[in-house]
Amino acid sequence: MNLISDDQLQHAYRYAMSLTNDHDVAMDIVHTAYLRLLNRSVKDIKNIQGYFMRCIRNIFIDKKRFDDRWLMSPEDEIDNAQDISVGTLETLAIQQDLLAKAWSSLKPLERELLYLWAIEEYTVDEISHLTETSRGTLLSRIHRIRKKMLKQKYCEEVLYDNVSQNTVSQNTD
Amino acid sequence: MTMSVKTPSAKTPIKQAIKHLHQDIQLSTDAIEQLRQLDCEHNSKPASSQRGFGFRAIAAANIALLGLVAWLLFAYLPGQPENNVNRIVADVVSNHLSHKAMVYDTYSLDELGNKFSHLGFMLSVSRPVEGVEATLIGARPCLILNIPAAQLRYQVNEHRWVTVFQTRYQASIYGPIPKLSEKKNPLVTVKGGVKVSLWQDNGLLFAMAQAD
Repeated sequence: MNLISDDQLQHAYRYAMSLTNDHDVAMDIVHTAYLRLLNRSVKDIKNIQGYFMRCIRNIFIDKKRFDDRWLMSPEDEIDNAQDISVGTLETLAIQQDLLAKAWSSLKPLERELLYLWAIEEYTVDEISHLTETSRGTLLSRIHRIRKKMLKQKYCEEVLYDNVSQNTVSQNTD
Repeated sequence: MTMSVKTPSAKTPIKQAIKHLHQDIQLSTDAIEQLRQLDCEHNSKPASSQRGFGFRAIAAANIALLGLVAWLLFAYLPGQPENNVNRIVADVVSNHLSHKAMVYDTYSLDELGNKFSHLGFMLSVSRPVEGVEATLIGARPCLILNIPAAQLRYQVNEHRWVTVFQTRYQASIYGPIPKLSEKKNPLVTVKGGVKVSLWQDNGLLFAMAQAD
């Protein structure tokens, strides 16, 4: 019996892709994480999928630790954090064909945040727990993503009828 | 003159667009099969062998931990130059010892052709590799100091294999490495029971790993 389902592997690969934006590097990370999983006693792991995702993240960070090109500038926690939430991203609209370019322009941890929010449908608190990143840092990251996407004219702000304030506030955790 | 006006209707909510972008990102059946092969290889190991591997893994982990502590002390002391050779060797040993599945099953370097050209280099033959009596059994992309590289696995016998790595040489990343064209011998070092040779040839960085 397989330790992890095909569907879970696909999720893991997509998560690795969100971090690396490179097929070969993502595959290498998934292989390494899979070997780690195989070498662990499964009964010690309560949540295999969560463990697998954490492995992928840790391997990625280990690999990038020495890479000067990747080092992120310190992310200051912003003062008006109470006005920011994942919901503020909901008002952004983008042309589908521009997204790939915009996606490449983002930093790995920014792509990771968008991936976990849009694909895995996690809230800020869940992302904070999963990535062991403070809520303030994540909100600051959301602020930067939003600013960057608008400044570079990848996105524009649109109020959709089907995105009510209620939906936004529900998605803000 | 006709001007095309981009209307908001041409745009979709970013969440929906991200979902759409990721629809096409998926592992191929072959890639899943490669991962499942790791399962088979792992499960097919006899219990005693797995136990032995466990002890070896613990020993290797301890050595790696000591190495990491030593490296941290060394790398972060002010004024100390960064030791790229140690980092290259660590990546080479890690890739050599891992049982990651080969992406290309082939018995000939020619068959690999330009499979790695997308990494910015063509596979090449170098004198130290020619001297190895082993059969090429496959290749896969890997990372050396986070730079994509080609990993070629050669089988010596049932329990012994040699791994050769090739990647485009970048002085700013890899630092000084002996050049064969300058009549220099490969730099040889042993880490965790693995002998690693490093050299430059044809503008490529070569690394060869085998049991010491």
